[in-house]
Amino acid sequence: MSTSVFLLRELLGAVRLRSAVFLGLTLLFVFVFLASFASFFLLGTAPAPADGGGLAPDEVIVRLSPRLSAAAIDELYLRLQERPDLARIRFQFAEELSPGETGGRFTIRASSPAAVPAIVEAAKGMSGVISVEAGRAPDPAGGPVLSTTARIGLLCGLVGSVALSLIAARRGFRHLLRGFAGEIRLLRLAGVSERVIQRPVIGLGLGIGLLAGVLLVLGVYLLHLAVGPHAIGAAGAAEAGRVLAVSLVGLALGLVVGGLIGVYGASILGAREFRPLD
Amino acid sequence: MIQVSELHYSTEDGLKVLEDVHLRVDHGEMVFVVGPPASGKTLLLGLLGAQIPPQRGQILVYGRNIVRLSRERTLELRRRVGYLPQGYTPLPRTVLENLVFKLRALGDFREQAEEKAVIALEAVGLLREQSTEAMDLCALDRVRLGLAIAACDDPLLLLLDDLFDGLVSDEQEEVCRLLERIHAGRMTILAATRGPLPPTADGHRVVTLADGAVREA
Repeated sequence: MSTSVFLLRELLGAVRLRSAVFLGLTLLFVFVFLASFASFFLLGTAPAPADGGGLAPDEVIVRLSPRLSAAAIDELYLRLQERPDLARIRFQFAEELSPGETGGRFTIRASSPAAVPAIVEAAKGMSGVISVEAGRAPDPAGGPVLSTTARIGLLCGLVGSVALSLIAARRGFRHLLRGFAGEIRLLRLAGVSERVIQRPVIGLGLGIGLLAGVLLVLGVYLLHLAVGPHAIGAAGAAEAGRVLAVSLVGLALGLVVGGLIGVYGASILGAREFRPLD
Repeated sequence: MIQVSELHYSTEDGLKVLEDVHLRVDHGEMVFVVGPPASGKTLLLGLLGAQIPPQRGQILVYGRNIVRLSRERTLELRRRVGYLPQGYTPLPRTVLENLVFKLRALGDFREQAEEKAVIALEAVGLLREQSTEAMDLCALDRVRLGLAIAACDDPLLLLLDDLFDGLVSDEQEEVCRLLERIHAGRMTILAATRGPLPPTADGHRVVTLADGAVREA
């Protein structure tokens, strides 16, 4: 076992109630920081459309059978064009849009999104129609979910949680190191280098950051499982790729913040009470 | 061997604590440095043990000039010097674990550390107390433990600060006998004390530190 690991174990053995409370609070605030960070990416985006994805809310696609004759297509075209709730209709061969696909399709623009269901209903009732696809009205909760107030709140959460974690870390490390002061003085007297003495403190900070990061990964994964594929208000959490990316970045960020907290904690070691001859 | 010449040291507010100190201690010698409180005993030992950076003068400890030592060399030297600080308080763990902690922090494996710790405790007559909580030890046994910790890694030089502090005369004599055993002519020892020295210290070299200067007693 290396000296640093040995000293880290000894340092952890010196944790008492007060230091544990403050270091626990540090962990909590780092987690809040990471959660606020993750919220920007998981809650602040619209859901990826599952169907009717590329369609405008007033748009309808009617796919026709490849067996339809030109005359039958013309007849369908005219019947649809006669509808008062239809603004525009256009015929295209399916192969124009997607090589290998046969038949044709009508791209219809309704006079308003409200007219779309009636057009869809009518198109479905026509013979020779294979499928009908309609655009969806935008989900009021599916666009940019986070309001400006919520974003400001999250930013405040980010800054506040960092500040609170530093305050809690300072107190936690001070209590912990005071309980370990005799050992630190002995280490310095014995000629152990400052780097070796500081390493366990930084390691403890890293551990806190790592734990907060792991908790974030678990939280994000549970959110991903909970929200399902058609999430409203947590759309980013429904995308596996985004969940993975946010988890990994959150974990790395946790380590960085934890490391900084550890360095901040190690700065306490310069205090007079830890010098062997003072 | 230790050689100090033209050593000066002043506090931040300009108070001269050491003024033109000259001292030579041969290998294997045991020297008592006697001086009143605040005469600079701790400072002198701190300088010799490379715990305090010198300001002016030359300090040669076993061929190493402390004034010109790099950080790495300073740490190396500290490892070769056993230091018992003034008002020593043991760590809140068992007697054996007090020694094992230091030895493991210096890189020894547990078995090796325990082996050295047992030898050191035996040398100071504290082996039977190895499982006792160090904080429960009496003043004399605390000094024994401090000596064991300072000497457990076979140092070249042992620096003992205010060794007899808080001990009654019988205990002081006992500590002197203990030093004789540890010393045995192979280890260089500098022990600072406010004095007077117990009779068992007779026969050893005594220097006084007063008004910033060292004089042979």
